[in-house]
Parts: sequence; C-alpha cells; structure tokens
Amino acid sequence: MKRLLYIVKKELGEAKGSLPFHIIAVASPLVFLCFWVLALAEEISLPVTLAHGERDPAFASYLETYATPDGIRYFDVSDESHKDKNVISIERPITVENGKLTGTIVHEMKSMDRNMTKNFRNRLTGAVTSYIEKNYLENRAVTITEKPVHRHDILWKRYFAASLLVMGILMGGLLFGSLGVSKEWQGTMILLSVSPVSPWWVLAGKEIAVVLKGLVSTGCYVLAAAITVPGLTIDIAGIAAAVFTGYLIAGLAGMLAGIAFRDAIICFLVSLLGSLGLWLLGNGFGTMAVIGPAGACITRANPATYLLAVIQHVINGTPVQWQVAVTVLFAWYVILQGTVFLVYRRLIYMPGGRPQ
Amino acid sequence: MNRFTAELKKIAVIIANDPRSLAAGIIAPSLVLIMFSLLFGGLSPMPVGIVDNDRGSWGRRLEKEILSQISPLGDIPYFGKKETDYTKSLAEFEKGILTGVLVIPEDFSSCMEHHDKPHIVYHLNNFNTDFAKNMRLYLEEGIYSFYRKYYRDIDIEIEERFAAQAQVEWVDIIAVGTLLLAFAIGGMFNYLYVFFKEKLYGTLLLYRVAPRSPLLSFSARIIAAFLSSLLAGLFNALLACLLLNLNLFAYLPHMGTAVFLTVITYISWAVLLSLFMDNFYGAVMAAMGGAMILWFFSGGFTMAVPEQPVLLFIYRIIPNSYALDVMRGIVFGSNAADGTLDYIVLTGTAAVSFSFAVWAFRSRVWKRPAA
Repeated sequence: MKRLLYIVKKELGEAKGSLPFHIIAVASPLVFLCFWVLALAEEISLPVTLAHGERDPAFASYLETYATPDGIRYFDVSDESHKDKNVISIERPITVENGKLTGTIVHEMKSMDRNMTKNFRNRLTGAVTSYIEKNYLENRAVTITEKPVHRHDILWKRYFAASLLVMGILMGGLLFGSLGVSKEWQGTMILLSVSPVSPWWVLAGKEIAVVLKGLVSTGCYVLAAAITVPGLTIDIAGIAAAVFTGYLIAGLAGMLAGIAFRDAIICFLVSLLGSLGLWLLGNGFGTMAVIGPAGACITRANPATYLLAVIQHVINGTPVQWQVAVTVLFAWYVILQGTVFLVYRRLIYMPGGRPQ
Repeated sequence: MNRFTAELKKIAVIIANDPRSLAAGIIAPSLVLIMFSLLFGGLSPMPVGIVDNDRGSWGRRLEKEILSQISPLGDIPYFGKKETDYTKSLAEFEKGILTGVLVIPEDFSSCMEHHDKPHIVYHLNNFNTDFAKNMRLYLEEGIYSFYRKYYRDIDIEIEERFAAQAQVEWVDIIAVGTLLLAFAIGGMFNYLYVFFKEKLYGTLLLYRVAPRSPLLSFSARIIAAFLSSLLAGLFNALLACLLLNLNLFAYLPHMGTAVFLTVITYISWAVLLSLFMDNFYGAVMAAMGGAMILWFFSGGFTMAVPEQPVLLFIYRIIPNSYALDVMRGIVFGSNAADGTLDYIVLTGTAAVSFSFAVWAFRSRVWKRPAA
C-alpha cells in the first residue's frame, strides 16, 4: 500500500514538469465556459429591426413579445437599423379584407449563412402563425398540446455548463493519462520494466493520480460555473461520482495513447482532438440524431454520450436511463482497464517487451 | 547568401530527421475540419415519430405539410418520419433515437370540419432552449404551410429579400475558418519545433559568439515556417475539396495577401514565445491552445459578429477576424466593403509583431561584438 501511495505521490509531484499541459487542461473548459456564458447572455433572442411597425401596431407588439412557453423572447426587436441586422418590414398590415385575411411582411436577410437564414425564417413564420391563430382563427386553429421532457426548457447556458464539464473531463483525463505514460518513455520506462512491482500497482497509482488531478480540475470548473451561471444547482456527490468514472475511463484511454505514441506533443494532439471528437459525437454540442443513422450508432457506442447524460441529470435534472448508462460506462471501464493492463504487461513488463 | 542557404539546409535536415514538426501542424486543423464536416456536412432531417390516429383525411394532409417543409440549412426536410407506432415511438423517444413524437388524434378531421378546435399532441425533447425552439418552430413551419394550403381565407405573404448574393452552408463557412487555422498553426509549430531542437542540440549558443548579426538565420527560419504553413494550408484546402466539394484553391491567389499578413503575425508570435519561454511544451501549448482559442473567438466557425460587448471587443482585437472577413468575402462574395480597414489592421498587426520578433531575436540570440 505504501508503494501505491508513493507511486501516486510521484505522479502528482511530476505534474510540475508538465505544468503547461496541466494548465491547458484546466483552463480550456473555463475559457469555453466564459465564451458560451457571454455569447448566450440573450439566450435564443435574435436582434432584428422592425420597420413600419406603425402600420400594424398589434402585430408589431406581438412580434416583440413572441416567446417560448417559458417567456424567452424569440426576437430582440428595435427600430435601430444596422447594416448587419435583419429588417422585418410590415408592408401591408395583417387584417381582414373582403372576407380574406391579408397582409404582407417583408423580411430582409442580411446574413448569407444558411443556418442564420433558417433561424430567422423559422421565427418569423412562427410569429405570424401564432398571431393569426390567436387573433383570427379561433376554433379553426390547430392547437398543440405539448408534452415536453422537462417542465421548463433547460437554458442553453446551463446545458453548456454541464456539457463543457464533460469536455473538460475528456480532455483532462486523456491528457493526464497519456502524459503519465509518455513521460516514462523519456528514460524511466526501463526502471518500470525491471521493477518487481506488479503492473496493477503501477497502473493503479497512475489512475488514482489522474482521478485526483481530475477532481481538482473539476473543482475549479464547478466554482467558475457556479459564479458565471446563476441558479445552477449542483449535486456535489453526484458530480464527484460522475467525474470519478469519467476521469477513470478517459485516463485509461489516455494511457493507451501514451503507450502507443510516446511523444508528449502527439499525446497532447490526440487528447485535444480526441476529447473534442468524443464530446461532439457524444451530444456535447447538441443531439447527434441530426447526422443520420451512422451518427446515431457512433453516439450510442460513445462513452461520452452516457457520461454527458449522467452529468446533465446531476446538474439539470435531465432524465437518464441509468441501467444503460451504468452498463455502458462500466463496460468501457472493463475493456479499457483490461486492454491497458495487457498492453502494459506485454510491451513493458514482460521479458521481451520494448521498454526503451 | 551562402549563410542563408546553409541555414535553410540545416533546417531542412532538422525537419527531415523529425517530420513531426510538419505533421503536427497539419493534423490539428485537418481533424477540426474533418469533425465539422462529419457533423454539419451531412445533416439529416430531425427523426420524429408521427402517429396518425385520425379517422379522416385531414391528419394525412397535415402530416404531409409538416414533412414537406425544407430547411435552408442543407436543403433537407426539417423532419423525417421514422416511426408510426405509438408505443415504439415513445420508447425510441425516451432512448433519444427520436427527437419528437407527433400524435394526431382520432377526431382531428372531425374537429377540422366542424371548426371545433382541432388539436395535436407533441412530445418533444427540450434538453436545451435552442433545441426546443427548433422543434417548436419547425412544426410551426408545417402548420403555417397547412393553413396557407387549406384555409382559403388566409392570404398572408412573407416575402424574403436577401442582401447577400448567395446563401452558403455553415460547414463551408467553417472550412474557410479552418483554412486560416491551418496556415497559422502550420507555421507556428514548425518554427517552434526547429528552434527548440536547436536549443536541445546546443547550436543556438553558437549564434551568441557569431561575428555577424543572425538575421539571415532568422530569415531562413521564417521562410521555412512559411513553407510549412503553406503545406498545412494546401493540405487543408485539399481536404475541403474532397470532403465538402469546396474548391478553395481557386481563391488562394486572391486571399494571398490576407493570409500572408496573418501568417507573418502568427509566426512572429511564435518567435516571441520561443524566446521568452524556456519550456518547449509550454511554448507549444501556448501556441496551439492560443491559436485554437483565438480562432474560436474570432468567428472561426460562424460569420455572425458577436453582439455581446466583451465578445465584440475580443473579436475586434484578434487579427483573424479581419483576415476571415477578407477571405470569406473573396470565397462567398460576402464583404460589402472593399476590405481596406481589414488590410490596414492586418498590415499594422503584422508589422508591429514582426518588428518585435526581429528585435527580440536579434537581442536575445546574438551578442553584438564589442567594438
């Protein structure tokens, strides 16, 4: 046991030698958190200039207040024009003329980005539809009874606060795990190969160090999230359990990368891009259901998907299929732990390996 | 001139002995492009379950309108029907396979015909406000189209006018961003790698006792970094061509000035990092992490100028923003202005950064011989 503690102590002490990597692993999620919190200050409101609002004050007023069921406005309407701002112009008021509901709204799109065009178009169509339903269609309007998963929509920044924590776990775990092994290739691997200590102890020491560093890193993140995202309720025990599991899995994957690539820079690249890829394909940026069946398959096999689901549950109360999530995460842990042990034993520990 | 070619040869030998200096600069932006291409290059309609229990025909008509609305993003329908059975739909919805389930009740047609509040039930995943907004508004598109088609007394026009010449896919906008990232990281990484290799070999110390200024050596390093930058950029453009069918090669000559000025700036920053940081890993982390973060903050993945004052300020002080404005203007014809301001800012940043780099290199690598 003392030896295990010594290995953990040595691993933690050696963080000083690769301080830049540790700084980037801790700071990156914080930078992205700040970016999203600032960028999503207005949530889903899009700025728009309203022209000729006086021609139909009722619709102009409705456009300003058109909002989600939770009251988040779709448009941030003003009469100030700007060269980059879309303009909604009421050319003919919405009114009944000769038994017909008429009106002409002109939407001047400034962006050439199809995504923004889609977003603006949807909002205006929604506003017009909702307006005529409320004011003219009465019993003919098709009403929608919503059955949402959550009683209230989860605020976008709260979603990101939880989601970016997963990105941090993936990046930190991969980086700490890979560096823990890659630094041994600079000369000490030979000592590990001639040591009588079982590979289990060596690997366990490295894994414990990864998890401890991860808990510190998560502590910084949770503190920053609690300050920047008001009203965030965090179940500390739940977060600690999820973070423990996440760092263990990502750390083991990182250790495999460290054995395979040996070079710290390559390990850094693998960790950076691996974490980004796993995060994106694990619904980190939004659901991957929109990229088709292949995407859905990758998402289902991706441990980050389940880690994210658990963390979203702990932070935002999103329903989670515990049985599936725990089974998949445990399966990934067993597979990675077994693979790391076998690879380490075969390549480094056993006579005939290649510890140099 | 002999010294210059000798320096170039030396750098070529260092790179040939360890091509990771080239690979690392190419891999990172390429993988970023590949990931975004996979994510946004092949979007599919939102998978939904539509359970039509209607005894009449109005339910089918509504369903047809909902499924036939086309999104400007990717020119694909907003929704794709994946399931029609209620129980299976709800099970798949709970697993996250379906993003929503629409149930049209038995009496929908009857309610339509008798003007008796026709209604539908919509199960939707509102895991974040943006996604919930999409699910709601995509359905509204279908319902609006339904009204327009079947409610003869509705004659409302929503006319769209586009200020821009064309509409471009989001992933193409990102591709131009990653092209700039490739140019920037390719040069920075090469410079740092070669410089720190020499630190490792101890050859840098020799410059301190050299009788001549090391600026020829500096020029050779800058040119090697430029070539590396060019290689990374060309590789990225090739990937954009293969993955997205977006031929960026055709625009490279026109983008040359903006790219050149940005690369000069980034290589100059790499020079400063190499001189003021002792640790190779620290310098590389700062370079790569910094370049990625600056890319992110400067509109690398979107053309929208930030509204939030702090983000707008950050956006304005990063040279990438101006380079991307020019580059996207050339590729998509998006820049209404002639780009004079962009070029002024890029030239100024490049000139200041490069001057600092030259001064720092000269003063830290070489000791002027005593008179």
